[in-house]
Amino acid sequence: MRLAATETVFAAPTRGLMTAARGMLAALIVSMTAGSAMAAPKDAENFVRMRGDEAVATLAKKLPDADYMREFNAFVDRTFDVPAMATFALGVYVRQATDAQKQEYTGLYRTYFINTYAQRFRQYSGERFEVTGSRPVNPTENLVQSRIVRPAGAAPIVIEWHVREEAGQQRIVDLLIEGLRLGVTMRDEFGGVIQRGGGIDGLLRALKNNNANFKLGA
Amino acid sequence: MMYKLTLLAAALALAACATVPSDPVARAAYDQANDPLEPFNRTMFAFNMEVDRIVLEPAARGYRATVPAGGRRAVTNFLRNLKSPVTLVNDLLQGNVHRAAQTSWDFVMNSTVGILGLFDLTDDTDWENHEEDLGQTLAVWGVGAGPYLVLPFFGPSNVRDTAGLFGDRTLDAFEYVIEPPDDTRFFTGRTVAGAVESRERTLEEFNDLRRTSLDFYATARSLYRQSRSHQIRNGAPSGV
Repeated sequence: MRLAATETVFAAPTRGLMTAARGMLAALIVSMTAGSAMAAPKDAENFVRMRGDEAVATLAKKLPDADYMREFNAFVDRTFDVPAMATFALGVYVRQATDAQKQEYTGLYRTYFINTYAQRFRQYSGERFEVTGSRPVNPTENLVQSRIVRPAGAAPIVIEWHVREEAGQQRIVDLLIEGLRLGVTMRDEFGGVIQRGGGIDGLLRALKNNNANFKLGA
Repeated sequence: MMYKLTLLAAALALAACATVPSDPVARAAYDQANDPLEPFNRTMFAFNMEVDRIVLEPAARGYRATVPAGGRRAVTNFLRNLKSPVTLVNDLLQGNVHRAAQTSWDFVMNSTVGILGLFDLTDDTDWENHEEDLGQTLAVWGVGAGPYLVLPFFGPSNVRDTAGLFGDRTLDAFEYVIEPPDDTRFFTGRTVAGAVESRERTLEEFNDLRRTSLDFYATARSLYRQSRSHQIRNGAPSGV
């Protein structure tokens, strides 16, 4: 939250000192723990920046549908922790699902996720993508802030990437668009299908049906 | 008349109550959804989707086809500026003097130099535009959301935000400067124009979401809850 000029006039000198002191302390703690298990926020930021560039480069190739889908598949696998996202989206029903159901579900989720975002990403028309900062969530996870800058008059879209580091490997486990969490939205959507009487098999049917009808548009 | 309609709606809503599941997993999901009136809400939602299909989406497409981008931006600015007085009152009710000052500055500048708000001159201030309403204020005061509610025409809401919707009119300066019956015309016009304006602005996103969702009702319910919580926190992180 940025502050209006009027308020900061009086508060600025002391607050400046406090912020500097806090900053130094934080830097000290980070440098002391950097060598240990702590996932560095900067690594997460770089990861998101790098993957963002790769994605834009893929799009710029203007590949035919089949090639684009193949590249997007590979991109998703090296960028997102799809099984973790699938498990989260199943919500409380993960306790009810059999192993066979879980296995089938994870595969269907993957296709559903890839289809949806392959389509949405194709509509991205080269607006500027900037990584603006990050904050740690816990010792192995960081939330990387970014925004898509749009033409004059339209506010930039704020996207946050929830990045987890596991065995030295970064993977995105969730994203928030203007505070709306993809994982929560999918969990509630899937829960709606399950609750309406279809049960977990109903969800599997709905996913299968959706995947079968998918066709990449322009 | 209004009274009878309200009673009728309440009776319908009660009759349409969902049965509480006994299975613990289903019960947890039921509680999470916070939607005991789901059957009634789904009916309202289907009604609103029809209104969208027949009226709102065509209106949004017509608006896009006839008004060029620059003109649409002026409309967006104008409508946002008309919301500033009620935002200001709610900023103050939330004890947010800071944002109240920003709202006042935007309103004064845009209404005068910006010619009734058609131009947003305060784009380059170091704050972003925001909107506040009584539902958000009540939340800041600690009032819980209450069950989810889909209102005809207005769409997703909850008990608290519905109360806020009615209460906001008594907080809106326009209620006191515009004489009846013109005040009702003004509020209706602002609401309808706002609906068309925002439907046009999110035309692709909305339609894409509707097309890809496995259960659009549940998706809309989830997004409403999340976006309200984001607005109540004024965009501050929720502590993942």
